[in-house]
Amino acid sequence: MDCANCANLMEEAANKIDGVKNAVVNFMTLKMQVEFDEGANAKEVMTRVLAECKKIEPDCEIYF
Amino acid sequence: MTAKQRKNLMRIIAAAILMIVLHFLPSEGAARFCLYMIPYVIVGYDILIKAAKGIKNLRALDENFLMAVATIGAIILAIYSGSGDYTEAVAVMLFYQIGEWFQSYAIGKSRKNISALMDIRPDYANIENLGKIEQVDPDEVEIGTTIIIQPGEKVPIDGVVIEGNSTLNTSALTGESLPRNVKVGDEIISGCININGVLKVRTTKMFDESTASKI
Repeated sequence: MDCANCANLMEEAANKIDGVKNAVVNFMTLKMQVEFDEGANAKEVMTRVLAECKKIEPDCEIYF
Repeated sequence: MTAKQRKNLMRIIAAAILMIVLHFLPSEGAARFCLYMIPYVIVGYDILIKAAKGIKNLRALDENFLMAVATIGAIILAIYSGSGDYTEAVAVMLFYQIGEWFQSYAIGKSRKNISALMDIRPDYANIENLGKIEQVDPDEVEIGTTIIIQPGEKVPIDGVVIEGNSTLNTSALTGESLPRNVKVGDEIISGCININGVLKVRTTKMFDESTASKI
């Protein structure tokens, strides 16, 4: 990830996903903090977050 | 340099060399087209893929799409006008990639600097307990406790020196390259690195309120 705007787009995309309460992407430290809705399956939600982010930055990768 | 940056640099250099070679190589028609497509694809394949993916995901209007339109347009013009001047398309893609490479290099550097700065957060404090030095979590140290800072350690919490004198490296906090001398009665702030003497410090702030934590 090389630009702050892409990070912002990823943040917006992640926030729209069901099961995500709040997502914050820190561009400089390359960290994404995701708060889940109660009862959400973290792993399953993250797979969807990754899929959405791949649409924005095809060569991005999220480790969780 | 990361593996990705190294790979991109190799692509840029390879394409640039190929372009120079092709410039001196006389060729005509379809052969010329094919020859020039080699450096073009080497340097620009990821951009073309990203542009296609962008269109597929209904996010077409980004810089990849722009570069694809510009270079493919230049190639079509070269074919139609019959000039066979494909240099333009290759050069546009090449310079774009050079720019991207420098951007990624610069960001990588500033990321490294920032993580080095994050490092000034100390992870323990020494307190003396019955003649022995104990390492404790700086969070648990209360105001007014005497902490001991040994040479080479970071100052964990803001405080006043009550014993000893030393030199502190404050460059991580203030940018000042000259070490600062401290003696009894001086206030010192957390995040500095103690260079040579053992200091006993009475803390004046909680860890959360200390300078290094505030950063």
